[in-house]
Amino acid sequence: MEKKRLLKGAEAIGEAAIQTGCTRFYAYPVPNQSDLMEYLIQEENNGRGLTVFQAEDPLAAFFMAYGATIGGARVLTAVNSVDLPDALRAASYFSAADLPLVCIVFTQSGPGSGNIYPEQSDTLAALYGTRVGDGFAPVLTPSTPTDCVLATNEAFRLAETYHVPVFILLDAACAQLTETVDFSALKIHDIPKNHPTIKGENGGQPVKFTTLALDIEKMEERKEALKEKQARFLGEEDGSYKIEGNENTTLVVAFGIAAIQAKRALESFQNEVNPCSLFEPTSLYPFPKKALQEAMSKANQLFILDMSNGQLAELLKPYIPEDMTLHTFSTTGGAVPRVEQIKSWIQQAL
Amino acid sequence: MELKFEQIAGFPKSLSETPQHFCPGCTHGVNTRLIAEAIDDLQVAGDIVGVCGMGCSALLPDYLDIDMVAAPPGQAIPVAVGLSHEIGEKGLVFVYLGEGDLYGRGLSALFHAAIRGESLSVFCANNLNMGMSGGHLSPTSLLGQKTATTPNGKSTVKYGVPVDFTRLLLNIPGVSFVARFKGFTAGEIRKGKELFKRSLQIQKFQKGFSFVEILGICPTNLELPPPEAVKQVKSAISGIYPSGIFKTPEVGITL
Repeated sequence: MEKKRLLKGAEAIGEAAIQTGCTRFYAYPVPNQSDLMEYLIQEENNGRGLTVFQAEDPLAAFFMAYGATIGGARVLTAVNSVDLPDALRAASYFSAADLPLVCIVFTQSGPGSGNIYPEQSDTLAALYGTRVGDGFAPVLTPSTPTDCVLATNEAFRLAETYHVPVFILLDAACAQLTETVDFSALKIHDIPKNHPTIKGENGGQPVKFTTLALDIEKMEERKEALKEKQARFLGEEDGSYKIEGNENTTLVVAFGIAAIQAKRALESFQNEVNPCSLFEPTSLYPFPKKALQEAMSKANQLFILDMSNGQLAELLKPYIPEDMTLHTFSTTGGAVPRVEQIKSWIQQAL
Repeated sequence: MELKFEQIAGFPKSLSETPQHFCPGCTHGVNTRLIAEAIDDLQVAGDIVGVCGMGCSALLPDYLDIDMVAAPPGQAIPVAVGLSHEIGEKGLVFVYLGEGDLYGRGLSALFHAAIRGESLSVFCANNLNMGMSGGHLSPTSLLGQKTATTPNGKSTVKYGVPVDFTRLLLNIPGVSFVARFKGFTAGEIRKGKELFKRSLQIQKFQKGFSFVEILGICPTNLELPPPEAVKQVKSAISGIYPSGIFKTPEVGITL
């Protein structure tokens, strides 16, 4: 295949999943997410070794994925914001059964049916919703199509390494954002499949997958194992990020399409204000807190830009020093922050 | 003269020796044994995967010595579908679950799997109530039946008339085999094993969707001694949930 491909964010995820050895995709078509599904169906028809299946509803898609994973497949699933609760319910079972899953959440404006335009208002739901019953799930937040490729590959690595569900939050604008992805310049890791399967080795004994543990001691053991796994995960993984201009006293934090717009705004400043740094977390769990704290140690003005009613600021709160001057700016309802808006917001504050 | 002995009965190889939690008189124990015997007769223990639902069937992984997956409430069929997509070429997949789970929150998945003609054998234990949750109303509970959530009896006004879900499957082209037997009468129990075997054979050779419903009793929640529960249920379901083979690719067993 060609080394360079012009791809949308949603398509870049699909292409990366295929190149990472994903063999099955289960989903229910909904706006934004269906761009990924349609790309994968096209590639299925091109004989790329992946089977796409349209389930009767999003929850069924997740549990078909559960069965196929137990059967030995490497599975990708996707939902939009409206069906995030189904993804969280499934995440609880994947966590309990120590199974890998990669789920793409195309975030749009909510609550309720809302609209299909981009928002980042599912950030905390994904971060904390996956903690049902003390389960946990890495949460990645790529922005550009190139980042989507890397995040998808990383998601499968995390899922297979720790046998956990992994969520990629992609706002509807990033899903549509198109750029040329140079695959020859990207390192796509070959990820060995090592999760437990139904016909796997079990010392000659039948293999059982159950998340039910009526015995308190047995459940305690499971919870202890989950705790140890989470501690190992947090000890080994730092959380990815991108930073532009590391030495400035003004720091902007944003992710997804907000980070792309912030970067454009900062690049367009021509000595109008002092240069600003941009910190873009591309992983929210684990959160790259050391890198953020280091960036913040050089800054005295912090700007937090997101597309929700302040969820990113709420998430960053524990890491912000008391003497930091904090400014927050949000757009909601599906509106992407415009470059001019961001410029005037920063200029007014400074 | 040397006497030759042939074993005609015994403890099924696919049945584990773990003591079962089922209440005295419950039909689940019979069903579990019949499934184990069917698997042994067909010699498919190494190739088969069972998926159980939530409720009294949820501990089946402990009772069958075969590969098993316990599914979340309402999701046994999707889990089995995913498994069947992955291993169906070389193995068999069956689902065993209660009617509260299957006809309640699992109903959509059941019908969609049937419509697609998924390669599955679905065995539904219909004991007219949601047993493990504490004897609550199930979609097949009979009119007037007292349950934990209908202490004055199930009424048409609130919950409608019970529907025979088994026979609703008959008009779906993707469904190859539909049958029902009573898991509490000796004659039908014997034939029940043949129905399980037929279902698995159909899956193996024709790759169709097959469905067997087992009518059961739940003496604990009916608050009756088992013989009395059998008598009452037998008379109450007469004409509503008849036994028989309703759809089959070929004629063989009759009830």
